[in-house]
Parts: sequence; structure tokens; C-alpha cells
Amino acid sequence: MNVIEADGLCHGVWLPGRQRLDILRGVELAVAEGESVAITGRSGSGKTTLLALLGLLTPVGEGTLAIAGRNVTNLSDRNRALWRNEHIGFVFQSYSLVRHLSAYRNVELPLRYGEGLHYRQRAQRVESALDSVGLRDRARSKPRQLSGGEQQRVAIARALVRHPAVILADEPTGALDVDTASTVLRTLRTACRERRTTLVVVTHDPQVAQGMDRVVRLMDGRLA
Amino acid sequence: MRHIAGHALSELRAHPWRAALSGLSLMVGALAIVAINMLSLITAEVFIAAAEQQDGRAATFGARLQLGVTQPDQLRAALLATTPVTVGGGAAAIVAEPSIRTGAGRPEDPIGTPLSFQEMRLIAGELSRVKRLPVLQGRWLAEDSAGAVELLFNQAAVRRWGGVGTVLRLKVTNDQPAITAAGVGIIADGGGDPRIYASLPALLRLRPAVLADTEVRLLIHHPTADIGTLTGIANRVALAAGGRLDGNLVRADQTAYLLEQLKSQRLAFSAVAAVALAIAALGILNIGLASIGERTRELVVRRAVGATRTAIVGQILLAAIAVGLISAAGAIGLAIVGAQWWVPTQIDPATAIEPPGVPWFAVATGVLATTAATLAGSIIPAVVAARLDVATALRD
Repeated sequence: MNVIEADGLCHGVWLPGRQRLDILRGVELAVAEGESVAITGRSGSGKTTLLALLGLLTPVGEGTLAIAGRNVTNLSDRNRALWRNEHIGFVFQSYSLVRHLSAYRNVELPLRYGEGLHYRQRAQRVESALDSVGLRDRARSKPRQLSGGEQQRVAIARALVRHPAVILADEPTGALDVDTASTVLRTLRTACRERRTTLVVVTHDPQVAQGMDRVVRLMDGRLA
Repeated sequence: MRHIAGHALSELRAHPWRAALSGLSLMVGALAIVAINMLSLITAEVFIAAAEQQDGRAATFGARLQLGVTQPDQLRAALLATTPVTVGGGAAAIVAEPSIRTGAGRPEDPIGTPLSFQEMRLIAGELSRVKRLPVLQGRWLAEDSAGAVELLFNQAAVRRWGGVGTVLRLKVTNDQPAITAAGVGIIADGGGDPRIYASLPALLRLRPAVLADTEVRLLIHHPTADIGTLTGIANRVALAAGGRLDGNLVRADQTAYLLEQLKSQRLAFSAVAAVALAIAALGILNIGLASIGERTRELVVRRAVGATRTAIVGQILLAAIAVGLISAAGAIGLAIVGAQWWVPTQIDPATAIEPPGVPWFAVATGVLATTAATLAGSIIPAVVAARLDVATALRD
């Protein structure tokens, strides 16, 4: 079963002078459950735009998109937020942890939106997610008390905690040194494999791309 | 909702200084409303108190009484005839102003020393309830002192003659010798010249002709009664005293006129209060917008992990409301302390000014206005936050 099915996705922006700049020109992409895919391409090729569309951060203008078995092309902003909360996890390049919240509270964040869970269930999920990235003992630490690698592992735990169908990662190792990047990537891959979570990674790094089941390249607004 | 409240509380904990400064700004705004209102009340009270000292409380009506030689029993009957006025919180008094040159002197002065001029009022009934005449020391005149004439001094008279316990010789009629009277109290009547108030019933027993050459006025105070009813009572009082009303009963106090005059002053005070609150609201708006700018990343990350726009708006508004409520509670507490304990200590007890008490209406207005200002100052940042482009979560 495909967790992501994109068909003819187009996206563009209007420039001054009523000129339209097409960024994506009919992207076709299908990613199966548990599969890991790397999206590569030159800077400005539209990788991040594609990730924003797949992550329901941007409404789909042209084409159709189905995530976790539901056609999400015409969802309202609210329903996109709820679907995102339930089925999509994000790992950002710059970790993007809320700095005044502890690691525990950061991981708990997605559970506090959308469908409510009892606090015991939340605690169980958060502890399990922190366990899976090896940071249970750092649950009380604030982001500033964690190293870059640890912060990214907390971000991975946050992406995993809802048990999403897909995790979208944007240059997840871009801000880390080689050794730390390797550890973080391994953690991400292992966690996704264990949970049969689909993983889509946007990256410039050939080594990261090689670690995925499949690599697709974005050129001239289309996947090659 | 519970989760939104949780986020709001975590927001307050995360930015305690910002929350404290916003709260302080609002509290100052609410307190400004209360303080300005109290200032307005006290300013009005200064004028009203002075007017009520001189002319009577709202509403007081007066008429001249034309009396001949009046017997003490007739005066007593006249005072009895005022009883219906007391129903519903009214009071009545008879005030006589001798037309002769009244005088006073000390008993120990050598025989033959002429008495010096002293302004005097002869009073019967409840003048202290008709006019605002607080007793600063001693007591008010006894209703029926057995023979002895009692006196009240205003503050200027105290400086001239002495206070409670001072014994004076008084000339109240032209052709009879002076009588001896003793001071029993000091009152604040607002007058700058020495004035002595003597007990008319006691004086009448010693000098039955005292009212013959005297202008006598009947004063009736009642907060609600109509002039027709009061005129009927005044006529019965005049008859009981063996005389008649000379002219109509007319409004004697100036409070209605003063309140009308003070309307524009109150309006000006309200405008100042509104400006104070608007400044507080703009402060909140400024802090709110600056905070959104500073927290853009956090807010888009929250949206990315599933927060709806409503949740973001709710989180920011609830945090603002919590700050507003805490500020309002602080403002109420300070307003109560100020109005109950501090303001009374600032008012000279030698005046007729009564401390205004806790201005609950102003407090309620302050709290409501604070909440409204909080919402007004937070709603724009909340909407701005909800409209942030969530796709920027992927870009630094």
C-alpha cells in the first residue's frame, strides 16, 4: 500500500510583473509503507517546496495528493493541520525545538494537539519515543542543555511520538558533524524500520541518500 | 480546550518577565482608571462638602418663619411637627440669626468691659443632619439641656475664644443682661470667620423674646420627598410655633447645580482614564507583536506538528487573558487597600469631606476595561500568529 501518492503536482509563485515562476511541474511520486526515499537535487530545484506539499504545510494547487490513504488535495487548513498531526512527522534541519520546553515537553507537543490522549498514555508514548532515540535520561533537559546531535534526536522522537504513517525530514543531518550525522541518521532509519514508517528525506548529502531504499532526483520541477 | 489552556500556561512560564511586564502595564492601566475615578470623586466631594456645609445636604429646602414671642413649648411642638420628615432619612432644623449686634466676652473680664461683636446662630433640631457639620471635638448640642445654654464653636471661633469647656457671656437681646453659656463642641462649618452656635431651646427659656428681632429659617432636608409634602410639613411647623411661613419653601442647597457643573470635569477625568488604558492596550499590542516576531519559528513549528489556527489564537489569547485576570485581581486588591486605608489618611479630618470608599463601579469598569484592553492588544498578534506561513517551518 502506498502511503504517499502524488499525481501531477504543480506549484509556482507569482513574481513582480505578473510573471509566474513554476517550481514544480507535474511531480509524480508514490512511496510505499515502510519505504525510505531520498529526494535530491540542486539548490532551488524545489525539494523543500515538494516536502512542504507532501507535509500538507502548503495547500495543493494543481494535481492530486493522497497521504495515508486519504485524498488530501482539497482539505481545509484546519483539516490539513489535523491530518498532519495524526499521520505526518517532521524532522527539520535546524532541530526546531521549542527552546523553553524540556525535551519531554517538546516530544509531547504533537500529542497535545489534535485528538486528545490521557496523560498516562501520553507519558507512555513520550517515554517510548525518547527511549527509541536513547535520550530517556535527558527528558528534563532544555534544548540549550543538549548537543546538536541530541537535539536532533529529540526532534526525531517528536516526529515518531504520534506513530505517523510518514516522516518527512529536511536535511536532517545538515547541521551536524559527520559522526553525529551518522548516529542521527542510523537512529532515524532504525526507528522508521521498526515501526514500518515511511521516510522521505530531502538531502544534498550523497551518503545520506545512499542509506535510503530509493533515491529520486528533482530536475526542472520534475522527478527523474 | 484543556490543552490550549496548558499551552497558555506554559507560555506564561516560558516568558515570565514579558508576562509580568504586560501584567504590570495592565494593572497600572486599571489602577489609573480607579485612581482617576477616585480623584474625580474626591474633587467633586470637596465642592459638594463645602456646599453642603454652607447650604444643606441634597436636597434641602428652606423658608422664613414669621414668629412673634415664642414659648419654649411652642418650639418643642414645632420640632415635633417635623417628625414626618425623619421618615425616609430626612431631618429638619430651625436656625435663627439675630438681627441685633450680638456680642461675647469672658466672665473673668473686669465689670464694665464691653462685649465684643460675635456672629451667632441660634439653632434647634437636627442641623447636623440638614447640613454637613462634622463634630471635630466634644459633642453636638443636647436636645434639651436643663437650663444651661450650650455652645458650639467653629474652628475660627475656637482660635478666638477657646474650645470645649470655654465659658462665655453672650449678649443675644438688646435690653436684657448677658447670659452665661459653655462650649460643648467644635464643628467644621467651612466658615473662615468666628461663629458660635447656641442652643435655641435653652436660650428661649432664659430669654423668651430672643426670636422677636431675629430672622428665623426653617430648613428641611429630605433626599427624596417632593416639595408639596415638605411644604405641608413646613406649614404645620410654623403653626405649631405660633407663626406662619413667610414665602414659599425653596431649594436651599446647591448640590444639583454643582453636580451639573461637575459633569464636564468628570468627562475630562474619564477621557484621561481612557487614554491611560489605551496606552496600556497599545503597550500590550506592541509587546504582543514583538513577541510574535520573536517567536515566529516556535509558532510555525507548533503549526507544523498539528496545531490548528484556532489552537494558536486560543493559546495566545488565553495567556493574555490569564495575565489580564491576574492584573485585574492585583488592581482590585490595590484599589481596595488604597480606597479603604490610604485615601482616608490623606483627607484632613477637620473638613467635611467624606472619603469616597471603594469605587466599585470604577473597579468593575477597570477590570472590564483591562480585560478588553488585553483582548484588544492580543487579538491582532494572535491573528498574525495564526496566519504565519507554516511552510516557513522548513526554512530558516
